[in-house]
Amino acid sequence: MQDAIGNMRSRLAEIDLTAGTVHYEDTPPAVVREFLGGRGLNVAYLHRLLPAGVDALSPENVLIIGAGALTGTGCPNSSRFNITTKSPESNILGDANCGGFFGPKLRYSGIDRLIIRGRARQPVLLRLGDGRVEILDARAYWGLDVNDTQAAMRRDFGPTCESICIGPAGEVLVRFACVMTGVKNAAARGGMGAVMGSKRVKAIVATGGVGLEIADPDGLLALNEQIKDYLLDSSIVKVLGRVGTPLLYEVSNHLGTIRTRNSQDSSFVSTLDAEVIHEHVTKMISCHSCVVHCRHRNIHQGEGPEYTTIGLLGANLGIGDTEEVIRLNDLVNRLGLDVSSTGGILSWAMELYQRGIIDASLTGEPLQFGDYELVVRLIHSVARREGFGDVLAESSHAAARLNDPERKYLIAIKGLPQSDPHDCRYIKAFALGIATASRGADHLRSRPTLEVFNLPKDLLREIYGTDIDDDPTSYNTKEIVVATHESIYAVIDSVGICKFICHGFNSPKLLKYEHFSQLLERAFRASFSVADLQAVAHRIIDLERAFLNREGIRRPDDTLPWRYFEEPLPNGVAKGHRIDRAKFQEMLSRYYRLRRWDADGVVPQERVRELLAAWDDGSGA
Amino acid sequence: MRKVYTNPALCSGCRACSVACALVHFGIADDALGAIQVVRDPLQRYEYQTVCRMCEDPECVAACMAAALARDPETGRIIVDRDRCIGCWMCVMVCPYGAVVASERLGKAIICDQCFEREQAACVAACSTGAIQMAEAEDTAGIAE
Amino acid sequence: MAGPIKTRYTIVGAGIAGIAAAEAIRELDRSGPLLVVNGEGVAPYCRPLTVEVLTDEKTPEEICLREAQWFSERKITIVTGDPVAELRAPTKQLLLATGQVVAWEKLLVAVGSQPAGVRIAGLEQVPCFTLFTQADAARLKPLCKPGAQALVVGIGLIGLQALTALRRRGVSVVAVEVAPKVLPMILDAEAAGYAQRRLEQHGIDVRVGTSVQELRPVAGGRRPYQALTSTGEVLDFDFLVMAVGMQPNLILADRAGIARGRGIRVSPTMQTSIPDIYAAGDVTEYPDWIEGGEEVHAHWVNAYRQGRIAGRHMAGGDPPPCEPVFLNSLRVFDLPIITMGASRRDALEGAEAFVAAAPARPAYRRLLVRDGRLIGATFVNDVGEAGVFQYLMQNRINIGEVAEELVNRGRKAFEFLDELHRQVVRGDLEWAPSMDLISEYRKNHRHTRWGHNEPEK
Ligand SMILES: Cc1cc2nc3c(=O)[nH]c(=O)nc-3n(C[C@H](O)[C@H](O)[C@H](O)COP(=O)(O)OP(=O)(O)OC[C@H]3O[C@@H](n4cnc5c(N)ncnc54)[C@H](O)[C@@H]3O)c2cc1C
Ligand code: SF4
Repeated sequence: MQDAIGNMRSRLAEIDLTAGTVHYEDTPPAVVREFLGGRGLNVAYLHRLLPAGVDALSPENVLIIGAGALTGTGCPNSSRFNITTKSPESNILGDANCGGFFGPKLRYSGIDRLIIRGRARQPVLLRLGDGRVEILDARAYWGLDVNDTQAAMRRDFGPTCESICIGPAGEVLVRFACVMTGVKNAAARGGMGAVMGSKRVKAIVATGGVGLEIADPDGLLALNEQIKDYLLDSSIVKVLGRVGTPLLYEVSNHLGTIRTRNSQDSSFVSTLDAEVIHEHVTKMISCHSCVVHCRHRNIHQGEGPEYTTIGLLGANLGIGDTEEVIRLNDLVNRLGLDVSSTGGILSWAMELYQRGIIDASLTGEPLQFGDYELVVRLIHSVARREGFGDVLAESSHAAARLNDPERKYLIAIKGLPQSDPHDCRYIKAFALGIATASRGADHLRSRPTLEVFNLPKDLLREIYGTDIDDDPTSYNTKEIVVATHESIYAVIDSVGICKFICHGFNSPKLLKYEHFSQLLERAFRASFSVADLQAVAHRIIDLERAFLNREGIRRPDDTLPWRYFEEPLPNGVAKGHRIDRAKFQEMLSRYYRLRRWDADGVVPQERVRELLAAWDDGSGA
Repeated sequence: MRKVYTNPALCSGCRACSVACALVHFGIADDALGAIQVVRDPLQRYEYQTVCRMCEDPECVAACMAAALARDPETGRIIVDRDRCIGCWMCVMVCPYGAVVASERLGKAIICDQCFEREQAACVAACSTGAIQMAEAEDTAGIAE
Repeated sequence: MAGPIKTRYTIVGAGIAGIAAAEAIRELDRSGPLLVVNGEGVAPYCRPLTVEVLTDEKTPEEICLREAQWFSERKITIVTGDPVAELRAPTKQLLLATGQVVAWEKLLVAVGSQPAGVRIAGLEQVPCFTLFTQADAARLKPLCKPGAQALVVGIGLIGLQALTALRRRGVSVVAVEVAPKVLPMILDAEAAGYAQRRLEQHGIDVRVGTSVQELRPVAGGRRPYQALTSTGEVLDFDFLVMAVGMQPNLILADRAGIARGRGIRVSPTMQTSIPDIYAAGDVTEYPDWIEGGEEVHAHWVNAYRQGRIAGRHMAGGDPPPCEPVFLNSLRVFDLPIITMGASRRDALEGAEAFVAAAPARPAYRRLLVRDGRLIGATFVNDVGEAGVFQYLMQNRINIGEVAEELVNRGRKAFEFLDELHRQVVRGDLEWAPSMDLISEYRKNHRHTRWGHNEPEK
């Protein structure tokens, strides 16, 4: 096994905060071989270490932070790491992928993965460097917002340190608190920040000192350069580098699929178009090793906005003023809240108020779409769990208090509010993707958008391995589309590369399995064929599903928000489209068959045993 | 005499240059080991590169008491003799550009060698924004009037 | 005895000042007869690295400043182990200890410094060492055994190096410093605190605000010698290292009637009061533009710079002047420190201090600014950018507006340095137009049908 993974290092530090101890070991090569790194190895550990039914905010929960296999190697866009744990928002798998500079620094510190258990008696921070982890007192930083915390880290651990941290929201266990690094990079979804807060870890700071040994430095450099030039030739990479993700707002808006006022509408103002946003930008900047530079340093505060922010804190809340949206974005980031859930939960409450389902006796004041000042107040109160904010901080768990026990008006799946501002009633594959995504309503697990590009048939056949029906509104063959995207994304998340330069996310070209295979070969002399990588993807998806099954997830949970079935889209090209329940169920059945899960969406026991076998495979031998 | 030029306005702060440099010279991926460094602070909103400017009369060479530094008259580059370097940081103390990397980890100074053995400097090849360029230079590093 | 050696240039002292001068002369005059006289009986070596020899980290050969070949290649004659006994200014001659007479047209006095001493009762009854030369190191070495107990008097730069070396060799060290802080000539109180803690962490018994009153041998004690301190304590030791500072070697200059204060007075081109006699390095004093008055700027960079200036002027050049400031790069075990200018001052009339401190790390940066000019700077454990500040200080650049930002690495500091460091680039180098970090929005970004025409690999 060691041969197969070459000199790829997969060192882990297991930190028991209750006992105050740190234990180091290498992940057995057989397991690395099967789950690679990042998202894959993280879920392998989570499945192994966390029994079913544990309260996500209890000391028994396990918080796993792992870098991708190629993270930090310097290959294009290799900045990413995953945070994986049981989510306090959805009570299922919580797994967030994040860029910035922390992932590489984690590896340069000589550690590839942290497993954090227990709970510290008082606020602590973890300091990583020279291959060691220290648990330090962090009382002095408790209460600071995200920017101030990181400024303090730079001051106290040197200007070249990189850190991740929680803001006030994570400290008070807001169920959608995120973990932040830099001004705007977030491991946002699923309440990672609340779990970190529940363990009383304010920050994790990496100072480096070890680096990452590369087997074939010259070969890797040559390949990096070749890949870089290839990517820079791509028009999508160029466009993202100029205007970033806001570009997608226009696409969704034009289709009539931009989630507006809690999805009551589906088109919105043009003041949030990329062209207008661009007026507010001073410079585009990058994550580590990134060739795209899609991040806006704006002229007001902080960085951004991204498409998600424009959608969920803009259109979805009925706010169309560009600067206001940018300021909301920065506020949410500073307080350490997930943009997507913040927008989704606030808009939910606003619609409930609008419908008279809740009133001022609960909310304290009238809730209205488009009221910027109100949104600012609500965000502050959520992040500190004050007043009505304390109710909203419970995310989907607030359903009963909000008098919407069935969550009829909440755009969420499996308790996780939907992230993409794209209304999924039009593109059916998108709907299937978020319904089955392993962390709840989430587009980053599959995001099947290639069909809207009108690609030639033969190219589609090449991508999907078979003929597919490329009408986005058709239900046919969408299980193939979703599964194909899911697979490559699972590998992308496990090698630690950004999806923006990878196949399938925005482009039918860009980096594919072949590239990852070559990169792993040059970086570590690790031999992963395309088929090996596809098998890794398959394992990750099955194991994530097995984890969900163990927590009780079955077929009825793989569904969509009520509105997606019952109300047709009101605006634009997509007007009149909704999801047909029967056709959706058929599509879901086909998906299960393709995945070889049973009719109830459960991974067969023998497959689960197979997935766990690597742990006994003479670990380390 | 070729030389690496940098332009902070075009730097997106990604540190690919530093990693590439470390790969070429140490075979280790670690931006801290690059002779070109990217000083960045997302909170203060800046990023810029520091790299040897190839002074004609280099202060670092003058200050080195271990005679570990020399200027190669042909290529203009500063040669660091790592066996002699004792990590006393005299060179760091006098470099007007803050371009000597004081590696506490190695206990040695790291200074750009202009990748004289390669056709293209590794950092230039790695940069995706064109913020680092290599050009023939008759002028010596100067401080803009 | 043969007649006088005739030279155009004679350099007395083969320390860094003398070597730098010889080098500079040869850049302008390739053949004028050039003699270097080295009093010590060894090849010229790097004085600050003497301690590395003591700890066996370097051999004497490895700290050699310039090999014999270097001299021969440049047609420089070097005399070793035969110190100059007398300078004869009126006849432009000098006399070596062996009686050899040397005639010169231009003379450089670069004889450096020697350890200063203090009078302590009983000093002559205890084994006392200094650490200035290779010979000193050789004498001290046999005593540096694990278990031995040393008393270091003075925790200045040389005391620090001595005690570091002793500790590395396993010797137990108690060190006394009469000033209330360690390294009093270069560190302010806070920085000295970091240094002292680091010394203590490495097992040094540090006593500040303490002087030695009396020394004496004791029979049958734990150690053969004892020191009584001003604080009434008794310190036992096996041997003593005296490190209370340095003083310029002025005997030759005084006998020759060269004007001096604490050191030889020199002009901006390193000329002394006597025509055609120059001086450079530790032996000189120079007006200190920061604190006023004459100062002996006894450090490596100054010796080098002054030697170069002297050499160039001796050979008919017109070197730009360089006004010295104090510059030090040191290491308190694993704690790197760089200081410059009036860094030792806790406060200075008319000056403002800007501090960025991270005690936990520890790291510390401090700037002293007067009338917008940087007059002092300290960097503890965060030394990477020190050179930038050295440049700002040396060139007296106005940083009044940005001092606070500079010490904290703020946005304005970046803008200021960006301006200052912007590269003069030749016209034919253009920055790639493909760059869009700061470009204008182009309409066609929106209309690009990026799904279609993606590149083939
Ligand atoms: C132990 C120690 C550590 C130091 N560490 C540092 C440091 O880390 N950083 C720093 O910047 N500075 C340091 N210094 C100071 C630095 O070494 C001096 O400033 C520098 O060496 C001065 O150079 P110089 O050429 O003026 O004098 P010197 O190096 O003293 O050279 C003078 C030479 O002249 C010779 N000489 C004297 N009299 C005669 C005579 N009559 N005839 C012929 N030759 C004669 C001497 O033997 C000597 O070789 C240190 C000094 C010491 C002693
Ligand atoms: S750190 Fe090394 S290269 Fe720099 S001055 Fe000291 S010995 Fe010379």
